[in-house]
Amino acid sequence: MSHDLKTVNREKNIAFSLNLTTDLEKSLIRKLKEEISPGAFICHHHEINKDDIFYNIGLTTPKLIMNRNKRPTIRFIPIRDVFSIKIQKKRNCYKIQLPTRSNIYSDFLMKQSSLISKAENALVSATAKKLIRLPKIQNGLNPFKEILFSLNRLQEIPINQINQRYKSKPWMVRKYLNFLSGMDYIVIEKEFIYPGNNLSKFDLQNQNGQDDILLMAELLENGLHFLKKEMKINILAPYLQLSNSYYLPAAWAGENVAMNENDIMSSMKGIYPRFKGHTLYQVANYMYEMTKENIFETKGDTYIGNNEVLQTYLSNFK
Amino acid sequence: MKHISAFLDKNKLSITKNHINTICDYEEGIDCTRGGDFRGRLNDFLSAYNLMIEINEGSFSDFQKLVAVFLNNKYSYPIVGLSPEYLNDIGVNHESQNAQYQWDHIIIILGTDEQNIYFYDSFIKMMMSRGSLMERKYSISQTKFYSYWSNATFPNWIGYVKPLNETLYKDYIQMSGG
Repeated sequence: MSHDLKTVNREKNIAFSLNLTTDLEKSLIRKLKEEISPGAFICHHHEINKDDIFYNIGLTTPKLIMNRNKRPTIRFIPIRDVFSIKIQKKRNCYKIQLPTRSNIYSDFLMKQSSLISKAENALVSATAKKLIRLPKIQNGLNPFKEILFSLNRLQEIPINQINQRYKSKPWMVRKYLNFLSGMDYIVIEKEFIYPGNNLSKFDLQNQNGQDDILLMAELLENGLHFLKKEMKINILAPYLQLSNSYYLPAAWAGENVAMNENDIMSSMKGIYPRFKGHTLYQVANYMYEMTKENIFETKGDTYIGNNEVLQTYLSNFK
Repeated sequence: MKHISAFLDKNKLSITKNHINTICDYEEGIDCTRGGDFRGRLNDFLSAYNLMIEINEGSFSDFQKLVAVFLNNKYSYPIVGLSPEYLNDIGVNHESQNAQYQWDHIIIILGTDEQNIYFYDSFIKMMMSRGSLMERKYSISQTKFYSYWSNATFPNWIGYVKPLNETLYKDYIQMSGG
């Protein structure tokens, strides 16, 4: 008995034909639901000429949204334009060839992951001013804060002074400066740095102002992916993943929902399948920290999202 | 009532979760396929036990056939696909979306009386274990069942395992007047 069915099947291109007399779209969608996924749906099509048509196909994926105040909800989330197929009209039938299911699945995962990244961006925009008050995130961003705040005061800093500050890891200085220069917060000239346009617009000398918060929130928002991928500053990851595991289902439900730690952990497994997961006590601690900064509020043993955050998130996510 | 374990024991049938996932081409998020290749792969596996899968739908399937399958001790319990509106009946909200977006929900039919259908739904079991459902409900009225079954993407879809090469069965022929 063959135990290597997966390789044989998943790498095979699926081809079939449909009778010319059938309702093409109805028969096509039925066939795709049989051969690819029950979530297959037609996004749009365009005709190249009278005999060739391209169809863009999306896949829905079911998501369970927990709400301890109400009943749980199931939504089928559409992931659009996962793959395309070409249909050739022959003399007596339509000829249809699909990519392999393995390729379709990889593309589905990629599209789903980009939807989640888009949601993360929307969430950072909606919560940046609150996130940067969290002590661990402040620590993670401290090297940038030190450089920017001193530069704002002094208007020029010799790079060798920064090298001295980080003499145990000099390679990081170049990364920090390149990052800040790339975002136009600083200008590097020979052995000095000077304020860039994006730094000069903030008034950091006013002790009563909010500009320090605004600057760091902007840096976090605009530099999110660079900080994560290039600088390997992962301190933000647990906060972002946990809050997204709440706010994304809430966005699907169209309202703030009531979830406990276990619900958030289950949601996280669905949204970040590769992530190994936190223990319950770690989740409780991260949620406590975020609740203190009004990203969530507690109600009994559940967490409820902040209405203002949800509305901003929804409008950013569109 | 027959038992699933009795059917499995009688046929000495066992399969690992990984193997059945491979046969069904299961992938997290997009589920299984149910086309010709899937039937071929499943029959490759079942033929070693002198069994085969039978799948019917549309005009080739009806309520009498469903009853005949679960009454026949040589057959497995039938699995059926229901439109997701069924979920509202078991305590999970589902608002209608674009019909193409929706997945059929699969349950196993265990029996019937004059008014109700009794079934097993692994989704309910999972939800109960997480404390996500207030009430365990494994029966619905025949009227509702018929509506959900016939409004599924694959209307009146039924799948069951039966002895190899056995064709029509006595109970069904008698009930349908054949």
